[in-house]
Amino acid sequence: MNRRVTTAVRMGVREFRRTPVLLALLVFLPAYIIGAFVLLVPDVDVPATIDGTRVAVPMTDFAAAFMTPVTVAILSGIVGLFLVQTSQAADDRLRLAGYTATDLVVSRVGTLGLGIVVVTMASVVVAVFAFTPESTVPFVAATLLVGLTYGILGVVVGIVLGRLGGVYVMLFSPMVDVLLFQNPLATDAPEWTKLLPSHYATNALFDAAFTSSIDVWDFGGAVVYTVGLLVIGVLVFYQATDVE
Amino acid sequence: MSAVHRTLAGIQASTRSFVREPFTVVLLVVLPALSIQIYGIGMGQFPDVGVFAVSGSVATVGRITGAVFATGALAGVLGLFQMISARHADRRLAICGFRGVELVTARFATVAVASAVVSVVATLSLIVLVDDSITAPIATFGGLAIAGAIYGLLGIVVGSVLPRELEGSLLLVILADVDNVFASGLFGIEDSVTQFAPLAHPHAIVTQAVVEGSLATEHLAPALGHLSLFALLSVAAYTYQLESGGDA
Repeated sequence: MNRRVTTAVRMGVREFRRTPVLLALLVFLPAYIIGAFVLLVPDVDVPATIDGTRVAVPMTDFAAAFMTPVTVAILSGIVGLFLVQTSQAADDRLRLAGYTATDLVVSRVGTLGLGIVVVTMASVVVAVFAFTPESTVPFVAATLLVGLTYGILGVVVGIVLGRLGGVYVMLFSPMVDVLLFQNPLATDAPEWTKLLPSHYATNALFDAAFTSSIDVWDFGGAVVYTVGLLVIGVLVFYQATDVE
Repeated sequence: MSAVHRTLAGIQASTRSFVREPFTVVLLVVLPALSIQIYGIGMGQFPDVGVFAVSGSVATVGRITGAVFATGALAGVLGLFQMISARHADRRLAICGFRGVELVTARFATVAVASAVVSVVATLSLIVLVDDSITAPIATFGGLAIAGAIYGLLGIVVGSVLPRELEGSLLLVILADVDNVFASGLFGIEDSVTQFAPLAHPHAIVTQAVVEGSLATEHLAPALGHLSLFALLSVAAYTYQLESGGDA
């Protein structure tokens, strides 16, 4: 990594650090969402489709596992959206000062990645207080993939739609995608929901949460989806910061 | 310039700044219908496993949930961005001679008008998209309007207390999303808890209006209570940020 990139990432991290309210929210909000549901849902077993099989799981475990990707998707999406929005003016100046578009892309992806790691870690820590995933490392990896997917989506949506429009879209997207259409309680999910951003990552996450097996197909699909979105995001970002 | 003219000028300027972004206006009109339809399809795929505290078919309650969520969330985000984008302008207007009450009235009236527009769009979308005919459209509109007003005011509170776009959006989005899940009955959480969720009572009013065709009088007072509480909080927060120079 060249010096320009490390400097830009360091500045991005410093900006995060200088806004303690943001850091507090990134830590508190996962505790609020996941914690609230774990504490409030009834103490019953619910039938869920895990790895293609209908099994009964305790509602509290289900709530902890299920609200983790919901939380990470919402927070990462909003962070991605505003990361680009707030850095756009600085990026244009850095471009004039000699940063290449690649330097900027790598810097912003790096900063976004760090933000998503913080959100993922905060969410996973809260979740594992409530239940123990059958396969912890794959559970964390799948959660991170959900975060990366929605973080990149937030970047793209922010550049294309602007702030207000972007917030509207990122307010609805994770709820619709993760909460409604990747919900293991559902028995009759339409085929097209497999095309939604979090399909493979949430499948991998639920497998990791409730089974000891790892579905390589789901992880592979999630990685391919994330990389595909990253390519789109990089192209859109290049376009948005093209000074020449 | 009289007080009425100053207030009207404030409302006009706020509305104009919003209407100047046509894509946002399109979203405000399209998202309620989209949300209603998607929630209907989404919740329709859930079997009745005994954990959903809902009356009526799950798909219908899904559409109602989509309507309440869209109305509340759209009004809330609008209230938030109104406050954040107008802070500096309001301080300059105060220096120019606008009184605090005129500025408060202008901001609140803009959010109220936008909430009413979203509520009308959501009501019409529900009438078109719900399978059975809705025999209590006024009560449906009333419930949605209360949801929109509560979240519009919540947006003003968040925008005044936390006047930064990223942090304010994060907080509002999470509050709206969690509140909506509580209100929907999707996780079977007890009423003794969900009754404190701001969207719970408007959701119940809309549900009874759509499913039973009557006004849920027992939910009206708590819904208006929430509305009054957020009105008080928003006036206090707005006045504080105006007097403190906005650096709350």
